[in-house]
Amino acid sequence: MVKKFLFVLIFIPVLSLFAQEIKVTAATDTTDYLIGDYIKYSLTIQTDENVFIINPFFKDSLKSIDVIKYGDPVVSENQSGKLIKYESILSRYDSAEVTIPEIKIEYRTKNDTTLKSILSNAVTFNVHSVPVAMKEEIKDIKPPIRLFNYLFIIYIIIALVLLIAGYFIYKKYFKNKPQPVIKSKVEKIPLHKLTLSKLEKLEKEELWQKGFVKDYHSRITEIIRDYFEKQFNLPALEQTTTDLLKLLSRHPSGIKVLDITSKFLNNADLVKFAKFIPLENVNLEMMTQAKEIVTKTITAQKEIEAEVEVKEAANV
Amino acid sequence: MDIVALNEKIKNESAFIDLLMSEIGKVIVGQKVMVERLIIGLLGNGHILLEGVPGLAKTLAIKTLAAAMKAKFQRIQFTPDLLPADLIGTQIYNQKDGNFLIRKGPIFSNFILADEINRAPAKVQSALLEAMQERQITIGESTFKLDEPFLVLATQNPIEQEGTYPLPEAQVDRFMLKIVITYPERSEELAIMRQNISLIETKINPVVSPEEILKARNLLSEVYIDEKIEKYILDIVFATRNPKQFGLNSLADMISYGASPRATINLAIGAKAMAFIKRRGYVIPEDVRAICLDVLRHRVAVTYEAEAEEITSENVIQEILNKVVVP
Repeated sequence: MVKKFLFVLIFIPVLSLFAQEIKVTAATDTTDYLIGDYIKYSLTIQTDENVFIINPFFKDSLKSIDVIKYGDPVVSENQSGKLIKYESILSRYDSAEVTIPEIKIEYRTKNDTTLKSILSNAVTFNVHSVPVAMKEEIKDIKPPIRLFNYLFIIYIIIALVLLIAGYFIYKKYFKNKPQPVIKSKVEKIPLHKLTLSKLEKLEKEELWQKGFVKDYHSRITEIIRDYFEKQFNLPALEQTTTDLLKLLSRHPSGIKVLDITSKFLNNADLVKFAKFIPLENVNLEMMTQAKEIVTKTITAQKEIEAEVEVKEAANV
Repeated sequence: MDIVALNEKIKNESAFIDLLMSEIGKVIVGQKVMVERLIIGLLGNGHILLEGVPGLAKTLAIKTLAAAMKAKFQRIQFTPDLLPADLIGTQIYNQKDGNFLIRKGPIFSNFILADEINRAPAKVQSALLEAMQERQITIGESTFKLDEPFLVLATQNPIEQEGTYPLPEAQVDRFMLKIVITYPERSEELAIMRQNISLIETKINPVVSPEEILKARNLLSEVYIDEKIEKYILDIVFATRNPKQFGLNSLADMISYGASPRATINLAIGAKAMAFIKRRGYVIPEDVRAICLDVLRHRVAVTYEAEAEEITSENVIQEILNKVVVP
């Protein structure tokens, strides 16, 4: 009996010493994950220096879990011996309660060729789906972030530089060149003189001689109608020939030129509205009649402000 | 064609106008403008809306015109209980042979006097205006072309407004001209009085045939209208739409809407017809101005503000004519 007791007393500590030479702990950083979250799975082996661990390969054990990254062993020393840590990153794309089964760790001890193994503990965690907030408002999907187009700024800068350069070139070579300046000044001219000068200008243009008969008749009647408007204060430009003749017949000075004006305007109407091609002498006569209408109706020196263009050399 | 030759042709072909005018003048005293416009409507293939108090010889004028042309005339008194079938005709069941017979309405004439058109409900007005536009009538499954020339002279009484159905703007626009008839002059009224109390019956002789009118219509297209006149017409019409563009700022708040493109067309046709009546082969600004009020008065609407100031569409058009430069 004493022998048995001694055997137990000696053998149990030996067994316990052997049992403590390696300890494996498996753990995850938390027990609740969302779908697609990274799951940090660590396998910690506490052992002494006489133990050689064969790097565990546990991919086949993780049937429903994807392995994102296998961790390299990180070895550190502590009071109990050495600590080997494998940290892997896993993920799962479906919600479930997942259990990573016990992982088999194989190792050898010093001076012993026998391959031994030890199992880690199993780890259980939950993978949840993203909760749908039914009461929340539907929100817009944010548009993709636009990156600033630096090329555009470069173009603007180039354009600005070109503009500034262009301005300086223009200023240097063109702007300072002396050019005649056309100035207009307002002068008071007697109305009949102004009308006669307009008629002379029209005569010099030789419109009917160049074939623009209709234009000639339109212009000459416009000058005379404008003259009537200003001389007799009649709305002559807005009146038809018949209406204008009626108005002239009621005017003391207008009546003096009623016959000639009637002939003048009716002739022009034929050319303007009836495709009538007058003889050369009719065209000439139109000018004579127009001048006669003006000279016969000069009652007072009615002056009118007219804009006169004067060309002056500019100061350099 | 050479303008001299064209002028000569128009002069010869338009000789019937004087005959027609003098024949109508046997019965109608004064109202020269109305008679002239009736002929313009006839030549321009348009219809006329007549406004005037009763007793101004509206019916007599068109009756006389029909007699002078040996054309068919019908007068239809528009009443609130009038039906479209009363106007255009209907199908009647013939018990004898068990078929439907078509009975044509009074619209199948050359001249129609639609008296007091605003007294009939909208469906009757539409039936008439549709016939005016299409110049054909459909009764049941049969379509009939209306006789040519076809002229509708519709009257509106401006005094009584109760129980009337005023023509909508879109339908008024279908009338080529709107003539407003005023009372005759004192001397004219004296002549009317003497003519009516005498026992001498005036007989109207047909001086023109409907065929001659149709021929004159074709000739109307040959009347020359210069580009300057066309521009003048456009200026007038556009001034009713955008008075500010023509320096008529004061009219901007007076016009609720301006004249339609139909006004432009009718102004050109009317001016040509006027030139034809004056026996000219070309249009002058006087022709446009003469017809302008009659073409535009029912196509330019004034605002409430203008109405409050007693400004009528005639005032607006006159103001435009005074401002738009004549070519």
